[in-house]
Formats: sequence, structure tokens, C-alpha cells
Amino acid sequence: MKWIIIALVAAAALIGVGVFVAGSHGTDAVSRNPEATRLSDEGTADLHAFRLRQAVQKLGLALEADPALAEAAISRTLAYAQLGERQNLKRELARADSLTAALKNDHRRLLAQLRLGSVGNSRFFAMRDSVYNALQVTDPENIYMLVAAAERAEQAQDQEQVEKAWLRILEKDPNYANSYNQLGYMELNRGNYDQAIEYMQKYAFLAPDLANPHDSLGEVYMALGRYEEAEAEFRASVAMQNDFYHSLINLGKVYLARGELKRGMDILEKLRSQVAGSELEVRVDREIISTYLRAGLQAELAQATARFVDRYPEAEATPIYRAVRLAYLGRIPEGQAVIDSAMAAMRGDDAYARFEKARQGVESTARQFEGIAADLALDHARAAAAWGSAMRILAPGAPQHELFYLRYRLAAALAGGGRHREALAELDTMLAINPRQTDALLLKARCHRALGERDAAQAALAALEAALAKADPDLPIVAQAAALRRELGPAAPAS
Amino acid sequence: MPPVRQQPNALSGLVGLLLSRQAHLALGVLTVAALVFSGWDATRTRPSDGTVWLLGRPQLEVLDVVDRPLGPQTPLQQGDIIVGLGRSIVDSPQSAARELRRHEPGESINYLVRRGDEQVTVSVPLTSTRVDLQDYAVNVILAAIYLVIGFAVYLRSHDDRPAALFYGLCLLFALYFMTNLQAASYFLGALITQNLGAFARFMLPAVFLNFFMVFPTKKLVLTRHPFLAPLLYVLPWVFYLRFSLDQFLGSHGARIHAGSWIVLGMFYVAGLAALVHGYFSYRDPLMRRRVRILTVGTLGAVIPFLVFKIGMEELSFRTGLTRLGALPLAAIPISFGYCVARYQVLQIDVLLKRNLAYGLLTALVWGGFLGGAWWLGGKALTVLPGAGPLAAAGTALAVAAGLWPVRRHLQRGLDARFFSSRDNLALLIEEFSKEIPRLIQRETMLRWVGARLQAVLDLPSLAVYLAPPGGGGATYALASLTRQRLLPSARPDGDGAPTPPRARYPEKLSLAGVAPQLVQRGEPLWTEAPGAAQAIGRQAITREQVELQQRLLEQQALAEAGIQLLIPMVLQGRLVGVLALPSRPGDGEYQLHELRLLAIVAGQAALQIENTRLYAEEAAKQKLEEEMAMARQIQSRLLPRRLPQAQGLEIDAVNISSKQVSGDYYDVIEREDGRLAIVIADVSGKGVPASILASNLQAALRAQCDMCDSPGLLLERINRQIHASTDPQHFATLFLAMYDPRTRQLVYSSGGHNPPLIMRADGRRELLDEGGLPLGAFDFGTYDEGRTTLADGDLLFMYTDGVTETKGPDGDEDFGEIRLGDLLYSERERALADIFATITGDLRRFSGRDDADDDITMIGLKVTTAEAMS
Repeated sequence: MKWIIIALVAAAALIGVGVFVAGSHGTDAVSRNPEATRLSDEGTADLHAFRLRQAVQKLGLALEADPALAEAAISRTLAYAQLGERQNLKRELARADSLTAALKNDHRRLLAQLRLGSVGNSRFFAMRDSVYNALQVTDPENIYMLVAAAERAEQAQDQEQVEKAWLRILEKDPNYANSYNQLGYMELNRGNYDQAIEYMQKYAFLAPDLANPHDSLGEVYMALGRYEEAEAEFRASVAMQNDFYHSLINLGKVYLARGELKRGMDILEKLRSQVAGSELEVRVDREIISTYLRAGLQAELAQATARFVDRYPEAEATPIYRAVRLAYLGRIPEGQAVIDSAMAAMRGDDAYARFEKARQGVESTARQFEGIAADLALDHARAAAAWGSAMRILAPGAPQHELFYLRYRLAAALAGGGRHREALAELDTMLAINPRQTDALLLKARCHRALGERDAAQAALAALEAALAKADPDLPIVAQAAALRRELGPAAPAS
Repeated sequence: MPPVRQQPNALSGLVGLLLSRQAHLALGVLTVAALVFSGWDATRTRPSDGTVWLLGRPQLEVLDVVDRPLGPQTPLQQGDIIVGLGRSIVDSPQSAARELRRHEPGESINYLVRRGDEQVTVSVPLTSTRVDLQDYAVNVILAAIYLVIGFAVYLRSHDDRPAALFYGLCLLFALYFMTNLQAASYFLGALITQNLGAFARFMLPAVFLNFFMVFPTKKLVLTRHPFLAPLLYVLPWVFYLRFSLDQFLGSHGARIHAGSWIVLGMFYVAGLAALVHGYFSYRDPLMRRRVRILTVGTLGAVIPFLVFKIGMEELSFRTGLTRLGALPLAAIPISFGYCVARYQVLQIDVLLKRNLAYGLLTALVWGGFLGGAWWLGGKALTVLPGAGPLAAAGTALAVAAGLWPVRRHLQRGLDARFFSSRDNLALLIEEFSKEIPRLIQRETMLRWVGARLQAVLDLPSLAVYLAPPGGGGATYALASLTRQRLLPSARPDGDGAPTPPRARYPEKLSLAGVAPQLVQRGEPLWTEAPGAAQAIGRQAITREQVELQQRLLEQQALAEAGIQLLIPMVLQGRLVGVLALPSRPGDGEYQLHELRLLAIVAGQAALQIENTRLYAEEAAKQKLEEEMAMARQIQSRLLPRRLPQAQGLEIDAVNISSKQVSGDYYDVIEREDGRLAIVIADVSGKGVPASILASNLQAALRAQCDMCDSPGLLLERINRQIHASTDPQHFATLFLAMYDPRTRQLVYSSGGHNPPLIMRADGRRELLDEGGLPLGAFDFGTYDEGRTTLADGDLLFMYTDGVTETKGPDGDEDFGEIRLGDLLYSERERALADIFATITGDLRRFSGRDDADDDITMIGLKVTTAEAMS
């Protein structure tokens, strides 16, 4: 008898443990139907991981099982919002709003209102601050509160708090995909490329069917000169979402960076025609101008800037392009007048007063024009000073890869002035991050040649030639590299 | 003083609980549950990525990749850190397992892994954690063999320590086989299975060694140092704990290191050495034959295991030889099973009598029981939605515990129907237990026991030898012999089985050498084959060797007489006797249940022999007491109820009987001539004979007293009569006086009696010592007469030797005549009753006791007035 009792007690303990283990998985949704709760939780997890289609499907099943499950309706609403399916969003939002309003439990209702408050058309949008404040007292560590906190910190440009919030979110849910996206960009902007890649890879891993993670990862690869990987990611992004134009722009940029000018321009031109009339067209045109500028294609640059000025007379960048165009046409004083006028207007803008980044942009642009003007006047010293100043203004908040152009122009000005060592220092800084920058490699080879460092020049030229392996043969830099090759002689055989 | 019972403390209670049969069975049930779980887990189709991972690390690091017999090899590499798999970022084995469950074997899923400095995504084809069923089936069969034999041994054993250890050994082997092929995976079940497997691997060698330290015989070293047995388990426990810590917290994963394997291998080797030593230490050829099979089986099993499994696979990393090391291990349970069935080793009996029907019905009962428990457990779970498999298993266990009495009841019925030998044995024991105590005559009892055992065991003959009366000496006499008869199997035209020579039971058996062994062990003794004693005899130097030689010689002599077996009859540490059994025809080996029956009967017979002896003693004692009572009765009738009284004369007497009634006698006879004949006598011997002699004396005296005036002459006649009618050793002392109250003249004669004393009134003392020899001793003799005249106040005091020979407290000093005279002198003026009281009081004080060793008789005559009777 004693042993039977012991066995029964042991069995009861085992059952208790089993029930505890089974019940220990956290659940957000509360439904009398366990199946509905399970589906809602899984659907919400898919939403967090940006598995939006699966999320919509599972949440739909959850709502079939329990039509009054507000959490499922909210998650489905947010999934539709991410997918951009407006009709579905509208319908689902109406249900979510109604169910949320009917929630009796205060805490559940507040959390639901907080989540819906991020959707502009929700009836709770206007309440989001008060809801946030209320939950800040009762449940500040809730994952949705942390997301809201991150967004608020982002708006306040408090990067420290932003990062803290996203990291905390990951502690609570390692599959919250957007955290990796946000943290990846933060690391990219800091120039921590390896960490950025890790975050982006996790982001892409979590949401392999979503275009955005691949695009983000491609951007990092592109900054590092890993063009083939970047191309694969951008292609994957476009394949998943063929209207994800950002990836198409980036894909074009990859080709341009590799010297495949025609292929790159072809993509950009096609894209421009596809998005004609939209805000994206402006961006595409800017990328085209930027490409011609970097490639040294003066005629094409003049044509593109003229077109931009004609098409977008009111665009923010228009006066700048006009000034640059005037300068390249040899009308530097006129260009200076235009740029001064534009700068004056920008300095009077509210954003200039509020945000440091805006001030940096305006002031750096002014120095850049000075640099262009000095370069055109062959005043290398003044040009170097201007480009150096433009770069230093931006440097505090910008990652290295965003300064590549300014640094190259600085190095070119230094080299023009015979300051080859200083130029090489700048170039090496750039190439340490992206060793496949063709203009930097060409300039480096020339600097070494000028310094009589033949081997170093040969090495730089060899790297240039490798980087231009897929470049269009009529690209100026290809001809320049060939000329340099002739000058330096054939490359030493690989040992 | 009753023995002080030690109060059990909590620790001893816990140890007792852990060593209890119930705890062992509970352990067996748990092991079976673990085996079922392992089997279920190993045969489940679950996705596996083919990695062995490190638990307890902040990251999921791939410790190793495993060979996957059921699919392509994993592209994951050792040292990879798994960041994500499927569509989840994973940070724990649990989250990895959760994600893996969403996929099926055969799928390829992406793994995000950190490899070196970079993070890469690889596509991993998933296979199943399910083991190769063909390989696993072999292991399951091996485990089942161990399990069945282990449980059968333990359930049929009787709290036998070797049987319990063998049971543990079987459980561990079963566990080892069932967990041996379990693939690595993230799943908790696989982790538990691996841990169980490690436990079995570590504990097996220790239990193996421990078992062969107590089987077939307990090694002396373990008897002298009992702490060694627990010490055997220290290292395996250390290894296991280290393994578990590595498994859960370690930085390099959990593996059984080469050093551990070497140590564990040494345990196996030591166990084999102990087994071989046990085999060679047996001198009894029968026992040696029994152990030989086990020895060969175990060596044949463990040596390949040591060579192929430990030596080549674990230490030399040569894989593919596991089966060569594992398969022979089946020889251990098979050889033990054979010996259990054939020879009843490990105290297990009659397994062979289980027939197919019993086996099938038993399986049916068990199957129904387990199936019912599982079904009812599943039903119970419907009220607990959301409960996991752990709860299901727990509920099933609970239901199984509830149904256990039902199963036990059914099993008992089956046992009674098909497994009757044990019941037969029980019936026989019951019969002997009832009958033996009824047979109060030793010879009758021995005859019945012999005849019944012969009939029950189908013996050619049987003899009982008993110790000499009083227990001294070592020569045992033949007390009962059941006559030999020709058994069918012993006939010359029998079935060809060898016919043993007829036993020749000698009248006397010298058992001086084997008696201590028989008493000490209390076990049957097989007689020794000829030659063993001589082999030792040439080298016998020490006392032990000499004793051994004597023992072997005695056993050899027994064997030569055709006696194969001695069953000791031991009672209270004494060898009361032995049952001597002959060799049997055919293979003729005594089975274990027969030996048990013989041992029980021998014990009961020994007890009954002692009972008959006690009964005889009791009867003799009772007879003696009856005689004493009769003697007392006779004696009391001899003594005069009332003494004659005469004027001027005070006569009084007292007789105090001792426990052992002696023959004191006194009388005062009034003669026709007016004289008083005063007699006091003391007959030799005790009890009834003495009383009868005293009675004869009285009759003779009374008859002849008036016919003879001379006391001397009268004593002469009586002497002749007594001598003629009694044995020469019976005699009596007697003092006879004739007193004439008128003349106060006293004529007396003494037949060897203590001389009476006359204490004159003035204090002078006078001994009356005239007479002759005691009466009845011789047929001749004359008795002189003495004469004296008493005066006023004179006191004549007669007594028996019980007065003067009363011993002092230390036993070396008599009360004596001087003390008596002094006492009479001081008390002479007092009344006779007072004088007697004073004397008895002084005697009591002198001896320091209230009772007396001998009868005390006193008679006094005191002259009280000056006038003589007219």
C-alpha cells in the first residue's frame, strides 16, 4: 500500500511538472479556445519575424476559431499594413478597432490600443501618447511598449535609447525581425560593418521571403565592395518584390560600381521610366547624376543635370545641381551665386535650426561646391581645404562609406597639389573598407608612380584591373588604367 | 536482561529502504520505464541535423557531427555556432528543437551559422533521429534477454544478495543496449537517453565486479573489509557526475574519456579475475561444473567486449566493430539462465517447469495490465487538456500502480495453476511440520522421516546419524536407516543411466573434521572425490591444512561408503546429527528445492530430537517427583501421629523433611510390660526405596517388639530380616531403647546410629554408644546393649545425622556433636519443644538456609518428676 501511495504521489508530481511545462510557454492572447490562442500566438510570432503571409493565414484561422480574439485581429491588421494591402487593412482595422474597444480587461485593452495606435487610420491613433504613458507605468517592459519606445527615441534622434530599446526587444523575442533591421542600420551608420552584416543576415534569415532584409544586407555588402554578394541580395529582393525599387536602384549602383556603366544605367533609366511622376523618379535621377559625376562623364553629367533642373525646378537639390552645372560650364561665379542663394534659403529653414544633421548637410554642400570650383580652377590647395572641410563637417554622424566621394575628392586635390603621401593616406582609409573603388585605386596607382614607388603602383593597378574586370571597355577609367599599364609595364607574374 | 534494541535512525532507515526488495523492484520498474522511453525516443521519426551540440553554453556550438546512416551527411561543421535554423533565430537547444519540430525529415532547411569570423547560411538536409531499426532490433533483443533473465532471477530469489546484484547487472546491461545507438539531437528525450546510457556505461563495471566478488562465493577480502563493496562505486559515480556536469555545463561537451574507459575496463578485468578465482576455489566437482558454464559464458561475453568495444572502438577509434563486441554479451544472461534452470544457481528454482501455456498466459496478463494502464492513463489525461507526454507517462504509472494488486492476484492464480512445484514444496514442508512434532518417540520419528523423504525424493536409501548422548565426541551413531530398495532407474536393465554403487552406511561416522563446517555453514555438504586429501596431505603443515586434510579424509571416506550428501541437523550451534544421502541414479543431482526441503526437515528433526530428549527428562523428573511424593506419604505414615505420654515423663519428637525425602524414622511403642520402646533410624538412600526400607523396619520392630525384651537381640533379628529382603547397598542405622518409667532404667542398643546423648540435670553428658553394625548391611553381627538409669531432670536426646551433618554456608564445616551438646547443655531445663525449636533455629542460622539437605529428626525423653511410676 505504501508503495502505491508513493507511486501515486510521484505520478501526481509528474503530472504537475508536465502541466507546468506545457503551460509555461508564454501566451499573449487570451481565448477560451486553446487552438485560437495557439494560432494567434504563432501568427503574431510570424508577424514579428516578418513572415507576413503566414501571419495573415494563421491569424485568419485564429479568428475563425474565435472571432472575438482582438489580439489576432490586431496582428492581422499590422500584417496587412506591412504588406501594403489597403483594402484588407481597412477591413481588418475596423474589426480590430471594434474588438479592442470591447475588451473588458484594462491591460489587454491598453496594449491593443497601443499596437493599433501605430496605424494611422485607427481610431486609437490619436490616443497613442496617453496609452503609451499609461502603460509606461504599468507594463513598461512589454515588447510593444519597447517598440513604441524605440520609435519615439528614433523621432527624438536619441540613438542611444533607440539601440537600447531594440536590444531589449531582442532579449524578449529573438525573432522580432525588425530589431535586426534597425540595429543593423545603426551599426552600418557607425561603420561597424561586420556587426551590421550579422544583424542583417539574421534579419534576412528570419524573413527570407521579404525584400527589405535582402536589400539591407546588399547595401552593407556594397559598401564593403562585396559587389557579387550585394548583387545576389538585391536580385533576391527584387525577385521577392518586383516593385521594390530601392533594390533596383541599388542593383544599378552595384553595376556602376563595377564599371558596368551601360548595364547600370539601363536599369536606372528603365526604373526611371517605370516610376515616372512619382517621388522615386527624383531619387533615380539623382542617382544617375551622382553616377555620371563619379564616373567623370562630363557630357552625360551636363545632360543629366540639365534635365533634372528642367524636370524638378522646385526640388531641394535643383539649385545645387544648377550651380554645379554652371561651374562645369566654366561659369563659376554664377554657380557660386546660385549656391549661395540656395544655402541662404536652407539656413533659414526650420530643420536647419532643429537638427544637427541638416546643418551638417547644408554646410558640407557649400564646401563641396567650393571644392568643385577650386578643382576647376586648378587651385589644388584650396580644393583640398574645401573637400577636407566638407568631409569633416559630415564625419561625426556619417559612416565611412558615405564619405568615400568626399575623401576621394580630397585625395585627388592633394595629389593634384603634389601632396601624394597625404593623398595615399586618404585613399588607404577608403580602400581599407572597400578595396574595389576604381577611382581610388587609379589615383593610388598614380600617386605611387609619382612617388617612384613602382611596385606599389603595380599592385594598385593590378587591383584596379581586377576591379574593372567586368567594366565596360569604353569607360574612361578603363582607358586610363590601360594607359597606366602601358606606362608601368606588364604586371609581375604572380609568385 | 533482554537485549538492548538499537533505535533505528533516519540514515539507517533510508539505507534500509534503499536496500529493500520494494526499492529494488521500484528501481526495476523505473528502468523498464526508461527503456520504454529510450526505445520510443530512438524509434521516433524526428528531424535531425546530425549535430552534437554543447548544452550549457550561451551559444549553440556544434561539438561534433555524427554519421547518419539514414541520409546525407550534414554540411554543418564542428565549431559552427548555430544562430538560426528554419525561420527562427535560436539561442537554446529548446528553441532549436521547437523550430526543428516544424519540419520533417527529408526537408532541407537553412541554417544561419557563425563559422570563424563570418556568418553564413547553409542548407541542411534533415534526416531522422530514428536509429537504424535493424541495428536497434539486435540491441532490443539483447536488452530483452537481460531484462527477462534479470527479473526472473530477482522475482524468484529470496533476498539473496548475489541475485539482487545480478538483477542490477541485467538492468544496467538492458539500459546500455537500449541507449547505445541513440543519435545526438537537440531534443530533451535524446539528451535523457544519452545520460541514461552514460549512467549504464559507468555503473556496469562496478556492479559486474561487485557481483563476482560475492558470486559464486563471497570473497574473503569482502568479508574482512565490508566497506570495499561501496568503495567500488565511488569512481563510477565520479565519472558519471563529471560526464553529467560536462553534458550540462562543460565547455567541451560530454564524452567518456579514454582514461575513464581504461579504469572501467580494469573493473571488468578484475570482475573476470574474481569469477575465475571463484571457479578454481571450488573443490566440489558438482559446484565446479555448475560454475564452469557461467565462467565460460561470462569470459566469452566480456573479453570480446573489452577487445572490440573498449579496446578498438573507444580507445583506438576503430568503428564498425561494435556488434562484434556487443553480440557476445548475450552469453552472460543465456549462461546464467541455463544454470538457473538447470542447476538452480542464485537460489532460483524450477524455471524449467514453466510451460508454454504459462508463458503465454503470463505475457497476456502483463500485456493486458500494461495496455490497460496505458489506456486508462490516456483516458485520465482527457481531463487535463494541454498536459504533455510527461503527464501522460505519469498518469499511466499511477494507473499501473492502482492496477498492480489486480495483476498480482491474476499472476498468483496462474502460478498456482502452472507453477506448482513451489506449492508442492510448500505442501511437503507443511506435512513435515505437522507430522514431526506429533512423533514423540525419537526412533519412530526418525523412521517416519526417513521413509517419507525416501518416498518424496525417490531415494535409494537414507540414514540418520545422531550425536552421542550428552553431545560429547564427534562420532555419530547410526540411529535410523531406511532400507534400500531397487529403484526402477537403478535396475541393471534400466535405461542405461549410470547406476551408483549402493551406499554402505557404517554404524559409526567420525565427523570431527566436517562437523565445525556443517555447524558454521548450516549447508549441505557434498562428499569429496578420492584423492583430494592425499594431494593436500603431502604438504599439510599449518593447522588449517591439517584440519582441511582431516575434513577431506572424512568426506572421502563418506564418498567411498556411497554417501554423496550430508544434511546437517543443527540446533543451537550444536550438530545434533546428520542425514546421510546416497548418490542417485542417472545424473542424480539433488535439485535446489530438494535441498531446501532436506534442510528444513533436518532442522525440524533436530528440533524434535531435542524435544524428545527434553520430554524424557521431563518424564523422569515427573516420575521422581511422584516417587518423592509417595515417599513422603509413606514416611508420614511411618511416623506416629501421637506419642504416648507417661507420668513424670515428657516425650516429644520432630521430623523435618528435606526436598529429597530420605529414610528418617522414629517411633515410640508402648510395650505390654509397660516399658516404652523408643526407636530412631536413618535409612540409606532417598525416596521410595528408603521409605520402603523404613517401612519394613517399622513393621519388623512393631511385630517383634513385644516378643523380645532385649534391644540387642531384637536388632540382631531385624538385621537378618532386612539383609535378607533388601539389596546389600541398602541399609539403615537404628537406635533402640527400652525405658521403664517405673524403674527409670533405660536399656538400649544402637545399630550404627549416631550415639544419643543423655544430658544429666547437673550438666553431665553421657553418650549411648553401645551396639553394633548398621542394619541390613551384613547378615551377621551382634548388638551390645547398654544400660543406664535416668534421674529427675535428665534428658535423653536422639537424633539423625541430618542434625550434626548440617553444613555451614561455605560447605566445609559440619554443625557437629560438640555444638549440639553445648546447645543441649544450655537448654536442658527447658521443655522439649523449646529445645527442638532452638536447635532447628540454630541449624538454620548455621547453614544460612531455610531448607535442609537431609531430613532432620530429633526425639527427646525428659524425666520431669521425682516419683517413679508405681
